[in-house]
Amino acid sequence: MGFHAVQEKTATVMGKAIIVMEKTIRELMSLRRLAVAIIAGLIPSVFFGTVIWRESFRSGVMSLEMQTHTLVGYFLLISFMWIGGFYIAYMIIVSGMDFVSKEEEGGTLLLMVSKPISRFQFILGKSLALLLTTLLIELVVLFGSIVVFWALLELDPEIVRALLGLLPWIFLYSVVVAILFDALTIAISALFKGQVLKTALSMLLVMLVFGVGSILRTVWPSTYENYHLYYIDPSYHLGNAYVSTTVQAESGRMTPQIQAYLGIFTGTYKAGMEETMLAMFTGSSASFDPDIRAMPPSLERTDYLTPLLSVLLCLAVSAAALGATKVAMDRKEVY
Amino acid sequence: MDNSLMIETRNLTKTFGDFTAVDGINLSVQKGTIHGFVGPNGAGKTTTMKMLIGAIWCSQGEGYIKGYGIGSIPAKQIIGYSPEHAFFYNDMVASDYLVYMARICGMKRSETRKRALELLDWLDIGGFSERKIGGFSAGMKQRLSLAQALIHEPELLILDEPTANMDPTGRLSILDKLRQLSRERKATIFLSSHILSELEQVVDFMTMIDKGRIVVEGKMAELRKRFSGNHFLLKTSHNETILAAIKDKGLFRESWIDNEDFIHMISDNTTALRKEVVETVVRTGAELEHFSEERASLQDIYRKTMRMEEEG
Repeated sequence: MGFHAVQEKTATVMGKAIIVMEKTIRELMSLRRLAVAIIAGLIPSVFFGTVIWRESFRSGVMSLEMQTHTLVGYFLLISFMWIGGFYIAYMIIVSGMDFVSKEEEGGTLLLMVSKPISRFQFILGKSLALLLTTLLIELVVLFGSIVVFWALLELDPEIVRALLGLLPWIFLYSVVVAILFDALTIAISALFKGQVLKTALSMLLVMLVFGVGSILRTVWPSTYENYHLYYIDPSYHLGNAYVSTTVQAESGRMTPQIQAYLGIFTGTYKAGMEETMLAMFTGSSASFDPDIRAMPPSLERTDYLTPLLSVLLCLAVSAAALGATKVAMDRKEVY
Repeated sequence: MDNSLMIETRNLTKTFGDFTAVDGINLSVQKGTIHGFVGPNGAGKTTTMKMLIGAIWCSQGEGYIKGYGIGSIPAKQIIGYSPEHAFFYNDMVASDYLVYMARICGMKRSETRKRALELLDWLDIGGFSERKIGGFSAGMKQRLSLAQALIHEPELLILDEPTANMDPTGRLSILDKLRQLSRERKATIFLSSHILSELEQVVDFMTMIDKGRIVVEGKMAELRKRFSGNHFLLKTSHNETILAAIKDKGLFRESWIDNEDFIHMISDNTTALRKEVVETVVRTGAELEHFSEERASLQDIYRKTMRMEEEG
């Protein structure tokens, strides 16, 4: 098949998928859904801005540099753990888990499969709509979080600029997370029936992606390294991609405390028990001072794999999930 | 492959575990005809139709729509399908829904709205084009289902009980429109219905199915003749005299006079009987009021076929 033939085929496949995508976007962009999603996304920023940091930032005990390092570091952590992590995963799972079953049980899938559109084009359109709306909301929440911090902590413009500088890189990383969860959620939606089963699988998936790696690294650190378990550890791959992406930002340098946290959660930094304790119990903004050597200025990266390989593995898993979705959709009998 | 056929299946079979819903049917639907598909509940009509549209897969055999394999995109491009119970996106308005379906079928965006509104008007629900489908009655949903089937002007319509949920006026109106589609657009229509008296007004061909197998098929005119059972009706001014005269010739095996003074004669020698009736009427000088060969209705065909099936 020549290049033009491939191009033409891609355009045909995408053409029908885009029609489904447009309709699904209209459904997903309801005012109520947007409001709930954005409010949920901003909760940690509001919480930290009002309950945890308000006093320390307003009292003037921290220098501008320290304020910047502290806020940038914790914003990176919140973005990884929540905005670009659990939040994005749950938003996709909640919206996409019923994509196929809703159409199937509602009877609308029968008319759709009688039309000249392949089942994969149909599900691809829905999947793209979910991806795009999620990323749009993600962008709003990321930007909104900075606005929340600015308003609540009365930040210096320089800090705001530093935070804004992180935004494109965090967003770029979010694209990888969104693609991964979008593909996995669509696969669950196509492969399984039953709300309880799908919910349980989705929860298991989130735990598997974000939680299992931390447990393995903490309980069996040598086994993790000796048996190269990082290859199958999604949290490592996501962390590896995140750290490598965000350091591209001028303001993306992390404090050792934040590196330690990311080391614990993702394995991208060599964060042993000592660093963990320091991060957990003395890891406040005041503990970071390279001069007093409370922690080393920067923790060592594990560098098990290159960030590109981690991203490629995430994308490969997404492609495999989409492949499974295609097979499941093609074999599905619609009554 | 026969080029005159719009639908062709060979040994089409569908099993669900141990149960065979469709048992090796060989279906032939001529292009440009209205083809009825009848049978009792659970006979396999809907399952067959769903295999033809590619919603479910056959366990054995094969099927073609205008030469394209069933379930393929080119085959689906030719088909417009309306199920017995259609379900829609209830939050969408009718015209938007049709526009969406039209675009899925590959129509240009600029043409779709005009076509959607025209169709809704044609199906007498034009006044509801901007209403949400969730508020539609069952009959209106049935019409909308037909509209989505027709939206891309398909060559073949596969309609499962298209007049279900409709009042008698609505049913007749839909049947009229199907006739119009067949006449003006030469569309092939393959439809099932339980209302045989209405179905027989429109169909040219008929396939009857029972327990997943085809039990009768053919042109309606031929089936009517085949199932008429050589049954003649005669009415004259001197019924008793005429009947006695013909009886003497031994040309029928059964006869009776009904309440409306019609002589019924079941004959195995129809040519001789016709000749004898004319001659006897002329000879006796009786006045001939009616003489016809009774044609079986679709209901008669159905009843007889099902009785034969039960008797094995």
